[in-house]
Amino acid sequence: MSIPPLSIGLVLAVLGAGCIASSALDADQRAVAGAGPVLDWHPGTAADVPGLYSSTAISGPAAAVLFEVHYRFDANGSFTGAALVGTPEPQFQVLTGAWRLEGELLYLSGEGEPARLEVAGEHLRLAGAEGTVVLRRRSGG
Amino acid sequence: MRLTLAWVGAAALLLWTGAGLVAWTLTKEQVTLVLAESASARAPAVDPVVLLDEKVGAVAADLRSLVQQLERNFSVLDERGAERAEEARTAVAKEVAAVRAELAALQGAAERTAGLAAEIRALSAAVAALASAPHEAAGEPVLLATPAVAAPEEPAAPAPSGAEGPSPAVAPPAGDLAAIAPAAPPEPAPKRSFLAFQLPSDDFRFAERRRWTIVPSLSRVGFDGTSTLHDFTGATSAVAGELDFDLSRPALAPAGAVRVEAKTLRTGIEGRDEGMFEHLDVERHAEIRFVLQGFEAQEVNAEARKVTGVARGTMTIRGVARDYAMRVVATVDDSRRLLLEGEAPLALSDFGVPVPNKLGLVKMDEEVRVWIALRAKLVPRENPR
Repeated sequence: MSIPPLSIGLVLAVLGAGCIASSALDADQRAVAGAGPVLDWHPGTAADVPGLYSSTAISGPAAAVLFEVHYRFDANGSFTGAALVGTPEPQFQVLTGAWRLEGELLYLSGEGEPARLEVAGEHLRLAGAEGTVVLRRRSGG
Repeated sequence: MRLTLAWVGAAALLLWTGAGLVAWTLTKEQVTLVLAESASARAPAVDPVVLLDEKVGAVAADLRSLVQQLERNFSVLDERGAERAEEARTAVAKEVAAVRAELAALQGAAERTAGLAAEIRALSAAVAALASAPHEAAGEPVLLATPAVAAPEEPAAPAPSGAEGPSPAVAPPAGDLAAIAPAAPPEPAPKRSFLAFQLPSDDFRFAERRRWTIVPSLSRVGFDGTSTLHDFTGATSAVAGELDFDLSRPALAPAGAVRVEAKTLRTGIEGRDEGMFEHLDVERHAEIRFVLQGFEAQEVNAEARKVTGVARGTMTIRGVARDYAMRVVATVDDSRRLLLEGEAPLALSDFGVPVPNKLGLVKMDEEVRVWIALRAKLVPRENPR
């Protein structure tokens, strides 16, 4: 007695169905995780700062109007930066000045609050009352 | 002749008189003359002066009564006015006392601020003096119109070389501050500053109609399907759209749309995705769209910045538009982003989507659960404050 190949295939398909696990997402897995990769943050030093950076994440109240940030920190204490700010049409603000690090606080200007600096590999994290910006070092800086 | 006529006349006169006397004598006993006054004649005559006097008297009486009433009313008004004046005096006195206290506090604060400003100016001058030699061109940051003039001309500070190396700018010793006089007038209060950038003030208020735009990189929509083989999820982040509503009154004319690029949906199995694209006919109907038309609020919690309710609108899949409702939860996070999460069942047959069926052995349920996990950011105000 010969068994048709189609029947064998169907039986294998039915048997195999039980071996395929569900790939449905749980409800708590639906949202996009905004934190990005888990990084090992630690206080930075002045030697960690120089370089060219672009923001990878912005959070806090500033995130409502601040879309992108780019910095170039020079080892000599000067810096230049650009930020895409919604006012309401997005516009770049460009500035230059001096930076200094006192303890964990990074001062970018004579006015405004300093930011707490933390580093993790190629990342800088600047946190202040208005929010937190995660910067990633770029090549060519 | 004339004499005759005179005599005749005299005789006639005498005769007439005599006849009259005879007649009076004959009739004087039979005639009685009665003189009677009429009723109207008996009524005393009305004197207009008396009438006027009476009327004047009545008016005078009325006036006296009115004056007395007015006096009573004025008396009451005086009493109430006095009470109100007293209350107003008391309130004004309290306000004046509060204003004086506030002024005193402000004066104290101003004095302290002036002292601090003087110290800050002295500190700034000291920093500038000490930093001028190595940092002539790397002073306070300057907002530039273009990046062309952004770079300092003569960066001369030595590079920080080690983990424990000095910071580029160094604070002066405290002893130097007293000898340096303030060099500049007080600067105006800084605007909202973050990392040296000037950010427009855009205070979020829960009770305000605002527009939100979906952030695709932080958003995902999808569906959960079940089949005789196994359960699976199809999802994508290729979602866009805008929402426009007042969180405190979400039922008040909400508007917006969510658009999904159908061919970006992925289930994790390439062959299944191909079949899904065929069933959704993505070549002809590239977009799955939901247009918000109403909201039934179930809970509005301003303190938690959270709204729960049912969003109603029109869902269009495969070119077929149907009414659709989804229970959603909207919350605003610390970054002032709107998180929208929800799910609802959807029958594929309602939208003309064929239900996958492999020879009757592997069959998918025609009902899937559509879910959203959206993040939207505030659209800046037209006139930022």
